Amino acid sequence: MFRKIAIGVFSTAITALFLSANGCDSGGSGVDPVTKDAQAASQISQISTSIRNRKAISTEEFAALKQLHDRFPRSDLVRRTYFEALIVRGDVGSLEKVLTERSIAALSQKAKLDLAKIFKSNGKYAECIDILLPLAEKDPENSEIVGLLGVSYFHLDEPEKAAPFFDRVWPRLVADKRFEEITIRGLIHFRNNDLTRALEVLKLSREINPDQVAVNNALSRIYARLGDKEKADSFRRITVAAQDSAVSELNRASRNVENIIELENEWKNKNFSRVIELSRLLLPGSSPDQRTILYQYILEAGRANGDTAAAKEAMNELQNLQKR
Amino acid sequence: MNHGTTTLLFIFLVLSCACGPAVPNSTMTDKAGITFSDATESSSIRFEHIPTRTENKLLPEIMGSGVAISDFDRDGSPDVILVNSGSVRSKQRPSNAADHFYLNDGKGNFRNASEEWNFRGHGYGQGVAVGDVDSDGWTDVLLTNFQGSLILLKNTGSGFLDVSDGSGLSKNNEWITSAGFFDADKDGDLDVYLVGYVAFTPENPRRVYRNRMLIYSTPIYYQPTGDRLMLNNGSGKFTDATEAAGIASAKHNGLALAIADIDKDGDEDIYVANDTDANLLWINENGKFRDVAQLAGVSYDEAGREEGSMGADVTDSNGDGLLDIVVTNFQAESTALYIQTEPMLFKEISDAVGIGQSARQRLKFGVDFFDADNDGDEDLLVANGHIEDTVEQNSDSVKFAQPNTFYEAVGNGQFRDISMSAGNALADVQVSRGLATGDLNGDGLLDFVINNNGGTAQVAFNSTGSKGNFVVLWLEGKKSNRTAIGARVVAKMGDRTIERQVMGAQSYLSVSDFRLHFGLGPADTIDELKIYWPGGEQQTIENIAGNKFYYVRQGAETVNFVPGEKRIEP
Repeated sequence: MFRKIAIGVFSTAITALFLSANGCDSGGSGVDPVTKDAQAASQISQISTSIRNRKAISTEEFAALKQLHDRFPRSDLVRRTYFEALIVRGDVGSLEKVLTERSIAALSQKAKLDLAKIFKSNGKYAECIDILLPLAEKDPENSEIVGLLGVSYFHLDEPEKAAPFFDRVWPRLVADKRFEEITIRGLIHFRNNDLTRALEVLKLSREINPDQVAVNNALSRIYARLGDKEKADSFRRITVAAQDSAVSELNRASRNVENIIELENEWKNKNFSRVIELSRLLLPGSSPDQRTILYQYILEAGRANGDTAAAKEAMNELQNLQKR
Repeated sequence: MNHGTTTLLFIFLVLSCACGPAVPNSTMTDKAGITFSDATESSSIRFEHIPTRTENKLLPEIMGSGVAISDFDRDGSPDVILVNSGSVRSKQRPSNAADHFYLNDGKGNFRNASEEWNFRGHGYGQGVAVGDVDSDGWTDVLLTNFQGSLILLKNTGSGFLDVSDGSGLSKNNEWITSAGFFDADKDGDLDVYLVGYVAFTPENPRRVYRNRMLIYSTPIYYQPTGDRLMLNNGSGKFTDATEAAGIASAKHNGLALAIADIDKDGDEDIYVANDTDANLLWINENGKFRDVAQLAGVSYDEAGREEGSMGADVTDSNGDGLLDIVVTNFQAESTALYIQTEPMLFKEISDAVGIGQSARQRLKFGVDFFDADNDGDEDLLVANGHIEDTVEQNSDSVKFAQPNTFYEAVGNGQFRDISMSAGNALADVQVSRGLATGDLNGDGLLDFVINNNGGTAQVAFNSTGSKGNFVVLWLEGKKSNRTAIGARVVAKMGDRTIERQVMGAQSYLSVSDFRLHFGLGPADTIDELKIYWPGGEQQTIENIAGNKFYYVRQGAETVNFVPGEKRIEP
């Protein structure tokens, strides 16, 4: 059965499985203007599927998508796909532009909150506050809104305004395990030289998420100021290790992409021995789905190359994977 | 360089927009009058940077190179060096990729004196550092390379001699980016700090993709090489003191350094901007160095994350007497401004002072604090340009070539981005890298030069109309190093105090004019000028008339000079 799968599908599927761009969930659509145009509907469906599978969008696909976005400004389906495309392109600036070219006042509360998050990610904390203050008036106990206000004021170096927002919803922040806000509350204590309170709050945040570099870095600095060199150094090492680990993970992911693209190219070039080599290189650490595709590559390449041992081994592995 | 990922899944839920007024654009405009006019044409500086970008997208090709502004012929006017690159795969420079050395007539008219002065680099050029390494009164030049030997050019007063052989500066083919001269061990000569980047080999580069498109990679895929400290024996011969000085253990992806006496204890400290790595703050303790960056709060961003740091500079940005550090970072990261709140404790407040927001929209490299309108506080210029030459195929909002950014200091440590109204020089859109400042045309206003990757170097004259008075000091050491790097000068005008240091390095791959520029505002006289020479000697001068240029030899009377008029012999 594996032989029936087109190799072209392997390319897109394997890339999607390995590329670690943020996962996508496009949600439902309902009746949508774009569905009235069969050709456009088909096109948007193809692009959307492509984005979801490959976590990437080609220049041509994006150009086509922009045209659809212009043609169907009321289409949620097109709009959602357009957002997905901007996200996989990492184009936060355009995302903000699209969201702010229409009335903010007319946005739903949820949409306003989401827009505030985009402003935050773009460092537009004053704009973030402008949106959030009215929301907080209506919903003063909403820990997400109020917490985000605190975060925004902190970044504007107004800790005296930030702190009351955190304190207002503190039990909710703790209950909801909102460690980013808790950490920033701790950093405010640190800035205010209240090292005892800072330690208490940052430790609480660390209990929720021990891997936060902000917390471990701050704890190191606080212990250093308290003269506890041992603990200061310990938390410094944890901070450095976390940074190193993140770099290693990026490196590994990038190497995988490099190998995958080479794998696809070598397949096209019918360099089957290299295909087998690369597939085997990619196997360690791969998920069952990824292994299935890689063994398919080995199977097909082994058959094409006359490497029956490799093909046989791959077939056995595929059968084992299927049983699981 | 840092390619961050952005978590924005929640965006999918934002679907309920309708029509109405748009969000007000927060970009500020300015009527204050700081203006820079593009003077590239009139200056006669004609420099094309040749990076030879290839389809393999080799990392050095996108790094660009540096610029130095300094007085090499002692005529009181700053001259200009622009470093070129060439071809990564070739040790030989293409004929059109020579470094350029320009002499200034004092009025901002330059002539290319590269041939006449035998100014010649080789290898794939990166950075430039300058200083009088043999204490003969003539400013020498150090050129750094990708995979090439360091080039030390001795200035004879009428030309340059390549004295690299025998200088002790290694030829181990490490990739050195920035370098800066300073007197590390306070023995009266100039030592040099070399910033190492990564072990990159063009024969076997990592292939990095974005959206399945091959892009220029980040340094995280390579091993960092580490920095080095070379001590001078007084005659321009250097010995490797990396291990003894305590900096050997730190291996990071280094790109830039700022050298200043940050803790004001009488010796120079070093801030190193590392790309996607922790930044360093080496505190000088009698010639031994200790990194305090993490504890001081200047290693990471406010959330403790490493950033893609490219350039650095130091100043007292809020006039509280403590030195602050600015660091340029990758697109979507802020230009970090670390304010020293108490001795050796910093906090990053770029968003609060008006720098953060517009900075995130650019990928920043060269950076320099300087007083553009002579009002006594230092404004901020940042050179921008992305590293992905295909970024526009992946983004509608991010461009490869980007305009540079000018922030005016508006008091109380606050800044505002006035790039849009600061003259046609700020409208230039290129892939900018190295940046240096100096008063090129002798009008008492600071100008700038920017080296653009794969583009034309830009010369900008400061044509600000509403300006304060000024005093320019050319310091020359006698007991201390002749370039006076490390000198700290405090000027008092009534109840106002301004402090400046002669810095051995700042920005990215570059160095600005060593002459100290004091904007006096409305004051027409400096009541008292106190010079703290490297080594500890102090010199006090009183009643310095404004709008003049002064040459001060350590311990001697001041001498007026007119830039470009005549040589002051060593």
